[in-house]
Amino acid sequence: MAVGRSKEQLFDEVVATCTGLITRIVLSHEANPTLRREMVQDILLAIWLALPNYRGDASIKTFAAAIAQKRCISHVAKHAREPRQVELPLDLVSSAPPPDEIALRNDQKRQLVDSIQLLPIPQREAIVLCFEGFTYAEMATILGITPNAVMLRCQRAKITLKSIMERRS
Amino acid sequence: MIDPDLQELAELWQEPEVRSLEFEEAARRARRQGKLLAYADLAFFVMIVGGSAFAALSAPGPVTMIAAVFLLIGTVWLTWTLRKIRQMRRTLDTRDTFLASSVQNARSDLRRATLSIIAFPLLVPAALLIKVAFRTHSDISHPLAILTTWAQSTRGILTLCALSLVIAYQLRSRMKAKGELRRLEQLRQAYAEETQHEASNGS
Repeated sequence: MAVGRSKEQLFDEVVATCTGLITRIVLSHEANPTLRREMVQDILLAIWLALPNYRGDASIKTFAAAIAQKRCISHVAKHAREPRQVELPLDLVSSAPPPDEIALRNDQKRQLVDSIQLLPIPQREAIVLCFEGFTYAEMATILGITPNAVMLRCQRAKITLKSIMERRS
Repeated sequence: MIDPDLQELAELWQEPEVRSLEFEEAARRARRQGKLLAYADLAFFVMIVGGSAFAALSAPGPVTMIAAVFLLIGTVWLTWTLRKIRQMRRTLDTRDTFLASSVQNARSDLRRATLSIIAFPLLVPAALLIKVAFRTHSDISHPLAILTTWAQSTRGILTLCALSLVIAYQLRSRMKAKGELRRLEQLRQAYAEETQHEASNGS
């Protein structure tokens, strides 16, 4: 580890900073909550095992995202049959706006998640990383393609996502 | 950096849904599992090296000693190399090589399952005939009769039941490996198409 921190410290940082990122990457690939929990566990173990290779060239978030994406691909190849449409939990939004607003927001989020799960995997990966606020350079590191290709892929993903959402609404 | 066009969707996507307690519990389990794996790795290594050393010392002789030394060096080298490769592969693969190695693994699983389905039903009668041959000093002039008698015995029935279960399990594994391979090939195709689009739009 060339970053001067122990494996434990790095893992603590992953847990502290990547909770949302990992959970949402998993959500984009798996609709079943039980399998999602298994995937999160699997990804965290893979990160723990891979931490000795972390050189600090990219941020720990980029490192975690790269591993999460690969684990998700393995999961899709092993388990997925068709895009599954499972009801999302009702407590997606835990803040306390009025109930009708919660219902609307939940509905919008459900629609967004369903539409993301329908995207082809290469585009799905790109759009999720885009939503997570990664730069094109970071996304290029995660996806193993050039920043220019990332930009094009994000554009295509955006168009496909919007058309899926329009069709569904 | 989020495309302004996607800002609204990104906000919706990032809305808190995270159950951090659940995540922390998963992290604790992963940490524990990771440490256990490391201990198991070490225990396996100690077992092989210790076993070899014990065997070498319990029947000392030049040939045994040379074999033991080779075994020790080989085991240490192999364990170390495999460990390094395994750790590197987890993070350093590019998407293409990651997919290629996944396809290779799935193909190996498929081959293993197919081979097991072919080999197991042949191995059981072969093992039985060899056993009978040993007992009767190579008298296996009526192999079919031997097999029929055996199949009607309690041991034979139990073995056949176990064999059927093993074959059923292998058939299931084969189906799973085939499905995985098909999905990986589809994924590879999807990535290839995406790359092609990017190349044509980029040029």
